[in-house]
Amino acid sequence: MKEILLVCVAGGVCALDATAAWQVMLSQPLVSASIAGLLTGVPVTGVAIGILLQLLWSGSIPVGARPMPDSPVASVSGVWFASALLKGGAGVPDSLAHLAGILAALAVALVGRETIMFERELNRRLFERFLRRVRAGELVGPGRVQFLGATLAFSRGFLLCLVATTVLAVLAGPAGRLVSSSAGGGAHALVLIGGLGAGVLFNTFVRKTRSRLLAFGGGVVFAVLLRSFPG
Amino acid sequence: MSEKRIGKTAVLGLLARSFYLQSAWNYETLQAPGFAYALFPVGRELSAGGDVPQQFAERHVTLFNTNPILASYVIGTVARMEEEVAAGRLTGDDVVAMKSALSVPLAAAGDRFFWATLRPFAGMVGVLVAGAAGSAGALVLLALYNIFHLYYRARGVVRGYALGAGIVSEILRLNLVSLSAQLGLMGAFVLGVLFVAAGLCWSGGTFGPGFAVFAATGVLVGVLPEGFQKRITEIALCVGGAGYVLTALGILG
Repeated sequence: MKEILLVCVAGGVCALDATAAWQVMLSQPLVSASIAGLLTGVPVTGVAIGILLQLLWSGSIPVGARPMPDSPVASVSGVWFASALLKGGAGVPDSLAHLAGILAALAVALVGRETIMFERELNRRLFERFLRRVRAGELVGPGRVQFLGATLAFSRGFLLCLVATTVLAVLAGPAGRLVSSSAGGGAHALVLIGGLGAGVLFNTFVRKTRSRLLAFGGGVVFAVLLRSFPG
Repeated sequence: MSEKRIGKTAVLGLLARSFYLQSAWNYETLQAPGFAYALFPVGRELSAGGDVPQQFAERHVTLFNTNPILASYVIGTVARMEEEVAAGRLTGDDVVAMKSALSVPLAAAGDRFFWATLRPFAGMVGVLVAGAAGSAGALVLLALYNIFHLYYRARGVVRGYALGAGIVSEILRLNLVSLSAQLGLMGAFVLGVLFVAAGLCWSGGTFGPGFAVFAATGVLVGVLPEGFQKRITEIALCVGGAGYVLTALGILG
């Protein structure tokens, strides 16, 4: 219970960082998943899930009103689910637990996107009330609106994380049993998800100009040469 | 006429409040609540009675939108211009005009640099480090991003307040477009390294079929139209879900 509460607080703080406050990038999947990994006692799992989610969501740009997947809450919930599978005693291999965590994160991200839109609608109503008072000549400051907006962002992250972990706790048993007798480790699916993420970055950095394509080629050659050196 | 200045503490207050520009972000007035929150203490300090004047309040509760980091330039500039309005040298309309004139170019340059280039670049470097050194990757991501983020945020408020309406020439010299291009080129190089490192990591350290599948998927997805990238969460969910079920059935390794 204490672990779930800690994870939910982390989800709330990371959700707050995504738009409402600071924007120091605690909300990036690699960071929020690493934090969740440390909190749940599975740091390696946190980093492994964070790497794949970071690749997938690097291309999500918070420009204008475009809704984005709720990556911070999703990353935290996904790591919690993977840790629950690993600790569940069903003998789920690490890579399958990672895959299950990523799937959980992707599903939570899509649900979270809808709740972000709801949060923004509530913000609009709060500010509208404030505007009516200002236009009526009342001497009020926007501090209360801002505080409520930030509280709403934290609460949305916290509650979404709480709902997600509750639902995922129920699913952990069947999901573990489903794959516990499987000989495979889900490695092929992880490679494909990694490829999708690398594709997003390829689209962001490489496809635009010829010079970028050459730089990309340079990076590939550099890495291959580096690997060929002994040690 | 005696001139009122807001003082260094108030300028620091502007910087602190700029971190909450989007706390009540909404689809109708966008960043207006945060902008008003940052500026209202200035209005209070400049007014004789200690209350925010009605006209001041109405100037800063209207629609406002720009890049949240470079918004600090607008916040600093507007604070200085409000001092000029209080001294009678400028009008409220000048402030409103400057706000809208600055917000568009800052949004274009800032979104391109911070969101479309620096953030994915820092993420990519973080992923590379995380692959080798675990949680340190997250720290590298945070450090790399925030060096630029905190520098531009602080500089925006300080220079905006120092220069007032003269900030335009400073913004023209920001040169974020060229910085984005250079960082983009470096990003392409780092991505090349990441392609090889990640591909090898997920295929058991060899240039075998696993590596080929990873690289081919990456390039194929990369050259597909951008609509495909926007649906990457749904696509990954389908691919991963199918992989999980096929693994459970023993069809996939």
